[in-house]
Amino acid sequence: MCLVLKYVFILLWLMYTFASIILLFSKGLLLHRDVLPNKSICETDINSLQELTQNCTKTNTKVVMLIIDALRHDFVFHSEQNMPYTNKITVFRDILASYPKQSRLYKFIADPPTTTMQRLTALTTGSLPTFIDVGSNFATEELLEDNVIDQLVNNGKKVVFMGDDTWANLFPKRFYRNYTYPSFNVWDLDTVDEGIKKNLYPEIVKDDWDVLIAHFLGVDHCGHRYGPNHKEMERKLNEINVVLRDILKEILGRENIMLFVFGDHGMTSNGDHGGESENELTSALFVLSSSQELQPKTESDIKQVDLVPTISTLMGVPIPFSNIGSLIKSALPQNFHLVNSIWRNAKQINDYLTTYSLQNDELNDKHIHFIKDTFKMLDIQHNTFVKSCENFMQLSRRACEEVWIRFDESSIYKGLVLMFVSLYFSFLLVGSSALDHYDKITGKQVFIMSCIVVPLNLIAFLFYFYKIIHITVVFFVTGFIGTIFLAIFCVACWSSLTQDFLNTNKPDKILIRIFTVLTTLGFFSNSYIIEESYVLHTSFALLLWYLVVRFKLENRKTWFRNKIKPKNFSLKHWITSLNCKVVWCSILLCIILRYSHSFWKCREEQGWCFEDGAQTKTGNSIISIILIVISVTVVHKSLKCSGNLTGCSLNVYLSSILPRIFAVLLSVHWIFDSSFQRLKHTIPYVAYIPNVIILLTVILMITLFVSPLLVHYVDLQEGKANNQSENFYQLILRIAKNIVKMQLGPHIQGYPIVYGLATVYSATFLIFSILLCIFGGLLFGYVYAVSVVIMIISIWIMAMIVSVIRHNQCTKINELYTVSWLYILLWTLSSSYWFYGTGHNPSFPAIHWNAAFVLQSNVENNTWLPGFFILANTFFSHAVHAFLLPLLLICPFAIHGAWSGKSLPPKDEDEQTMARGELLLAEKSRQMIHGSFDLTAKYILANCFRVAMVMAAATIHSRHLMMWKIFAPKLIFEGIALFITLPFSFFGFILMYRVTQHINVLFERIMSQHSN
Amino acid sequence: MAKKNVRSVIKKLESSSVLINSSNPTEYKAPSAFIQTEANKDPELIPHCFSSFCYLGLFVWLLLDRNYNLLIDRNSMIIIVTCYTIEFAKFACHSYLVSRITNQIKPKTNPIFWALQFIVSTVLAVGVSYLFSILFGAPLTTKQEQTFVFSVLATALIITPTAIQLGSSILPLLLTDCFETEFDSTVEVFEKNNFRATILGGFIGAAVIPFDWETEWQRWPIPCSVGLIAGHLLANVYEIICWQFKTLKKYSVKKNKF
Repeated sequence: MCLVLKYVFILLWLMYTFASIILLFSKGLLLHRDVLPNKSICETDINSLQELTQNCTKTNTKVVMLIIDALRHDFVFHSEQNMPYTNKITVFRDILASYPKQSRLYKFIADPPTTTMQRLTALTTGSLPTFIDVGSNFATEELLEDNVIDQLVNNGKKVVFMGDDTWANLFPKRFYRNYTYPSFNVWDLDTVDEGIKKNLYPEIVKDDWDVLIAHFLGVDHCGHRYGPNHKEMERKLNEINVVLRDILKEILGRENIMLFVFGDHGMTSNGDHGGESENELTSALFVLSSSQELQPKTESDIKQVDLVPTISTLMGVPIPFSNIGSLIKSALPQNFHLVNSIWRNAKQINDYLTTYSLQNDELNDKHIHFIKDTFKMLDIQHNTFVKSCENFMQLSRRACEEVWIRFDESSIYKGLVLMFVSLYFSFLLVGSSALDHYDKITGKQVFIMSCIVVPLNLIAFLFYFYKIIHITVVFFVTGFIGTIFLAIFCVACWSSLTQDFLNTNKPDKILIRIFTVLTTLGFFSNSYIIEESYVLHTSFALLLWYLVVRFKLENRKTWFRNKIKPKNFSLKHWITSLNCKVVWCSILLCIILRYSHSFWKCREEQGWCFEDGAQTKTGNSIISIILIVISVTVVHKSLKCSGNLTGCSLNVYLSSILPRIFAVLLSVHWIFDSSFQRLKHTIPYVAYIPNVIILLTVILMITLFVSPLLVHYVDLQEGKANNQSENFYQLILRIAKNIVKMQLGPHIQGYPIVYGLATVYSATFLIFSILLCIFGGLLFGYVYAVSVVIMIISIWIMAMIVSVIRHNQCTKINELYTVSWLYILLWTLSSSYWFYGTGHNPSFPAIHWNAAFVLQSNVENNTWLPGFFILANTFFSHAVHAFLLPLLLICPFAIHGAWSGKSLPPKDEDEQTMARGELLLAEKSRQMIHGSFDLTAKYILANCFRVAMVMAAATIHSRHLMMWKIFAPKLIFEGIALFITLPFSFFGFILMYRVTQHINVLFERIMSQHSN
Repeated sequence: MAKKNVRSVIKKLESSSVLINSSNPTEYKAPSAFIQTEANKDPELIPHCFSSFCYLGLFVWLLLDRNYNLLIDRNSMIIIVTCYTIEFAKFACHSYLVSRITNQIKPKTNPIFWALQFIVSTVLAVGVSYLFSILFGAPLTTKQEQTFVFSVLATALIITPTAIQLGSSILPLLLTDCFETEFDSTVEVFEKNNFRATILGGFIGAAVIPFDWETEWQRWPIPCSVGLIAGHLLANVYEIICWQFKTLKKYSVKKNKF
C-alpha cells in the first residue's frame, strides 16, 4: 500500500511539474494583448481644434449594420466562374449601378485569427485581438474593453440587435431590444436567419432606434456543414439576396440612414475558417447612404478595424479608446467635416499608443518615438493635413501589427530551460534502479518531499488568489520546485545512477535515443509538420519492422534439418513457426495502418490532396455496424472461453450483457443517422439512444473501476454441485486449481475453483477497450467509427506483437516486468499516428465540431458537455493509448494465460509457472506495480519529450511566417494531447493496481475458507 | 549479432568519408603474394571490391547530369539490368574463387531447378516489395509505374544477391536474428547486413520527400531508389572494411607469434 502511494505520488508530482512548466511556457509564447480599462469620453470645453480630443456631435444619422457571417469576397463580387456561390448576391451590383454616388463596395480585409469571436471584438473595439483568445470562442464573456456599442449606449443612442447570441454574451444589457438566437448548433442553417427575417423589417419600420445590428449566421453554418460548393449554399445566398433587396428598398425610401453590409471573415474551400489564408481573411463591405451623397471613392481595400472609427464618427460618439483603425473617408457623407474627424481619429490613436506604451513595454521605444515624431509633425494649417494624418494612422497600425505579436520572453526561456532540465533529471531517475522497490528512495523521503512541496505550491496559489503575484510566477514556482526536487533525488541516489550507467552499455540504447530524437526533429520544419501523418506512419512502420527483424531464432538446428545440405533452409518449418506468425501480425498491422490513410483529413496546405475533391468522407453505416458487431462478438466469445464472463456478480453480468446491447443500440443509431435523418425526429426515443449509451457506458466503467475482477469464484459446496456442467472451461479450471494449490500449499481441503483467473487483467482491459470502441463510435459518427474500431484492434495487435518479441528477447521471466524504451516509443508513435488516423490534424479548421451534437440536450445552456465531447473526439487516440498502456506489461502473460502457455516456446526451467498467466503479475505484485509505474512514467516522459521539442521548435520559429498557422497550433495540439495523456495513463496505472488489490482480497478469502 | 548490426548501421550513416577513402581499397594490400594467398582463402574480398566499385560508378553516374530522372519510369530498367549484371558478375567471380580453393565442399544443385526457383522467388519478391511499398505509404491508385519500378529495383538489390548466393528458400531468414552463440556463415551475415543497410538507405532517402523545396528529385521513387543504391553500396564497403580489420588482426597475431 505504501509502495503504491509512493509511486502514485511520484507520478502525480511528475505530471504536476511538467504541466506547470508547459503552462508557463505557453503563457509566454501564445500572445495576448493587455486590455486597457480606459474609455474615451466626450469633452465639452473646446478651446481650439488642436486640443480637441473627443467631442460629441449631434447627428440624426441612423446606422444599419448587417453582418453576414463568412461572406467571402467572391460571393459578392462578379465572377466569371459558375459555382454554387458565385453571382448569387446580385443586389449590390444593381444598387451600385443605379446609385453610384451613394453606394460603395470594398474588399474587407480581416486580421487573423478569423474566428467569429475575435472578429466581433475587432469590429467593435477596433483593436487587434490576439491568438490566445481563440479558445474562448464558445465561452463568450462580456467585453470589457472600450467599444463602439458602449460608446453608443453611454451617449444615449438606442441599439437594437438581432441574430447570433455571441453578441448578447459580449454585450449583456446594452441593447435597447434584442432578438438573439442560439449560434452553437453549426448544423442548424436556418433558425438565426429566420428569426432575423421575422424581426428585421418591423424593426426598420418602428424607427425608434439609432443603430440596428443584424447578424446572419446561415452562410457560415452552411459552410461548416456542406462547404461552399453545395446547393445549400446557393439556397442560402439566394435567401440572403432576397432579404437584402427588401431591406435596401426600404432604406432607400428613408432619410439619413447609413447601411453597412459586410462579412466578418471569409471561408476556405472547405467552408472552415480560423486561419489566415487569403480566402479566410477577405470579405466584402457594402456601404449605402440612403439620401446623401458620399465622398469620392479613393480606396478599394478596407481593413476591418477601420469600420469602428467610421461608425463612431457617423454617430457622433467618441472613437473607442483602443481603436487603431482609421476612418474610411469615402464612406462618409459629403457634408461631414472631414478634417475634424480625421484629426479626432489620429489624436485618439496617439493617445492610445502613448497610454499603452506607458503601461507596457511591448511596443518598443523605436516605434513609439517614431510615432510620436510623426504625430508632432502634423499641422492643421497645412494643405496636406489629411494626407499626413492618414499616413500617421497607417504607420501606427503597421507598428501595432508588427509588434503586437508579443512574446513574454522570460517565461518562454524559463519554461524551456525548466522543461529540459527536469526532463534530463527524470530521464536519469526513471528506468534506473533507484526507483525500484528495494531502492534508495524510500517512501519516507517521498513523504517528506510531499510535505514540503504541497504547502509551497498551496502558498503560491494563495498568493495568486489574492492577486499578489502573477499566474506565471505561480507556474514558475511550482515547476521550479518540482525540478529542484528531481535534482535532489538524483543527487541522493547518485551512486546507484552511476552504477546503472556503468552496467548498461547497450548500443540499443544509443540507437533508441537517436531514433527518438529523429522522430521529433520533424517539428522544426513546417513541411514536416504539414506532412506529419506520413512521417509518423513511416517511422512507426520502421520501428515496428526493426523490432520484428530482431526476432531471435530459438534453435537454428531445427531450421536446417537437412544435415547433408547444410544450406538448405526448410521453408516449411518457418511457415509454421512463431516468427512467421509475428511477421503476419505485423503485416496485418501495417495493412490496418495503411487502410486508415483513407480517414486522413488533409490540411489546407496540402494542395494536392484536394485534386480529387473528396475531402468530406462519406459512407454508409454498414461497414461500421459489421465491424462493431464482430468485435463485440469476438470479445464476448474469447472472454467466455477464458472463463471471465462466468457467474452472476454484478460487474460480470453487466460486462457480458451491456456491450451487446450497446452494439445493437449503436447500430440502430447509425442506421437512423445515415439513412433516415428525418425519420429520427418523428419516432420518439430514437434520438435519445446516444444519451442511453453514454449513461450506461459511464455506469459500467464506474462499476469496473469499483470492482474490476471479472472472475467467478465457486465456493466449495457449490463447486461440487456444478461440477458436471463445466467441461467447457476445463482448461481454465485446471490452471486455476494448480495455481491455488501452489499458492496455498498441500494442506488445503478440496480445490477452490476460480474461473478466468489466468486472464484477469486483460479481461478488464478488454472490456474497457470495447467500451471505448462503443464510446468512440458514438463520438465519431458512423463514418469515422471504422477508424476508431480499427485503431483499438491495432493497439491490441501491436501489444501482441510486442509481447511475443519481448518474450523472445528476454532471458528470464523477471525481465518481462520492465518494459524497455523501444516499445514505449512505439506506443507513443502509434498514439500520435492515430491522431491523424482518426481524421484529425493539428489545425483549428479540422476540428470535428459535429461531435458536440452527439447528445440530445440543451447545448445552448451548457458548453461544458459539448466542449468535453469535442475534446474527447479530437484527442481520442491519445486517451485510448494512454489508458491501454498497461497492455504492454500484461500481454506477455496474457498470451500464456489465454493459450495456456503452449504458444510460446519455454524460456527457462521455471517456465511452467508461465502457465499461470496473469496470476504471475498478481503474485509478484511489488514487481508488477513497480513495472507498471515504470511503464507509466516512461510513457509520460516520452510524450513530454515530444512536447519539449515542439516547444523548442515554436521558440526558434517564433517570428516565422508560418508561426500562427503551423507551429503555434501544433504546440497547442501537442500540449493538450499531453494534458489528456497524463490523467489517462494515471487511470491505467490505478486500474492495474485495483485489479491486483482485489486479487489479493480474493486470495485471502480463499485462504480463510480452505485452510481450516 | 544484433548489436553488431546496429553498430554497423550507425557506422554506415557516418561513413561518407569512408566511402571516399574506400574507392581505392586495394591500396593497403601492397604485398602481392599476400593478396594472392589471403584472397584465395577468403573469396569475398575481390567480389566486394568489384561490386562496390561498380555501384559507386552507378551512384555517381545517377547524380550526374540529372540521370536520376531515369528512375521514375520504365527507363530505369537500364539501371536495374545493370544491377543484375553486377550481381551476377560478382557471383561468378565469387564462385570462381571458391572453386580454386581445393578442399571446399561444394553442394551440388540442379541448375535448371535453381534457375526456376530463382525466377519464381524474384517474381514473388517483386510482388512482396510492391505490397510493402504500398503498406509503407506509397500511393495506391496513382503512380503505379513508379512504385513497380521501385520494387523491382529493391528486389534487384536485396533479394537477388541473397537468392544467388544462398538459394531462394533462405529468404525468410533475413527477417530474423540469431543468438550470438548460434553459428552463422559469413555470407549469411553479409546478406543480412546488406538487407538492413539497403532498406535503411531507402527509408533515409524518403526523409527528403516531405520538404517543400519543390525540386524534381523529390518525386516519389527517386530519393528512395537512390537511397537503396547508396545503402547497398555502403553494405559492400562495410564488408571490405570488415575484411581489412580481420586481416589486420590476423596479421598482427601472426607478427606477435613470431
